[in-house]
Amino acid sequence: MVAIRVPALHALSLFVRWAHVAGMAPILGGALLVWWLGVRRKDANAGVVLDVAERYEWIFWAAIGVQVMTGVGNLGAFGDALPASATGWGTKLILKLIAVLALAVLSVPRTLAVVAMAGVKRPQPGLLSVFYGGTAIFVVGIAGLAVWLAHG
Amino acid sequence: MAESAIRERNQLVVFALGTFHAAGLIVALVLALYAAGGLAPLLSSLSTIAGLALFSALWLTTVWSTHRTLRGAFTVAPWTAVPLGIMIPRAAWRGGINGVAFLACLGLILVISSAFNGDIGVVGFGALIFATVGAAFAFVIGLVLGLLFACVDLALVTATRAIVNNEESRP
Repeated sequence: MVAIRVPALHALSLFVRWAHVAGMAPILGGALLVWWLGVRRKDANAGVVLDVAERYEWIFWAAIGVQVMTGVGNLGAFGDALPASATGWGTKLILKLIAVLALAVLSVPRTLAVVAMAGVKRPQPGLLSVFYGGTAIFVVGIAGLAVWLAHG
Repeated sequence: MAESAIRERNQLVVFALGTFHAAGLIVALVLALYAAGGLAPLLSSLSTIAGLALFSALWLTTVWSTHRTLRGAFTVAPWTAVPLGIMIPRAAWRGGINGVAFLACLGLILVISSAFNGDIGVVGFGALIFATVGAAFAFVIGLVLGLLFACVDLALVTATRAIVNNEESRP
């Protein structure tokens, strides 16, 4: 019984970890795509950039939900062996959690602005580039913190 | 075509704000518990599947609650067309309902989890507490959180309006 359960739990833990890492890809890749489309606005139709941005917002928020869900699952895998907050690892985790919270808070105005621009059909390519460039930089920072955390 | 596009944008705002509330709450709670040293005992008492199910339930009830709060609050842009005097109490009330809805999901997940462990007798007594005292507590906690997130959302909407209008007014 134990021999069957342990590999199953291990597989679930691995799946949660995979989903956490994989969830980062659409968040970062999508932000880079919209930023890139925005900065080459001489070539790209601003309406198309806005359409892509709207699609990205759906993916972004779904991915944020998955990131939080799987992130807590990853911490749960530590059980009682979770390092204390006073350790170096704990400080890095606190930094990462604050950064994730800040990303969520700062992303709300971006989503609302995209919806507002789409509603009045008046895209502002400069603002879109700032929003998505900023998001990409922020996400790269969080990914860096995650790698730092994963290597102790 | 135009109506379906507006409906889709409204749904995006509801989904974004609902996810922001659920994710923000959990990250803030994890942060506070971890800093206070209470996270490890809590997480080790919770199975991975139960944890995933609990967050999914919170996510679902919060998006639903946000949908109910924001009904009729949209124009072409997500700027509220409903007076604040109506929106704030509605957000607080819906937060309370969300608290009770989440408690019901929590109860269901615990019942299923306990049934698998064979502790169904204990669950019967627990359900009684859940349905009475627990529901009242969940409503009050949800109400306070609903009020808090309504204030955060309003601040973020104001900031967004300022950013978009400032950018539009540039030559």
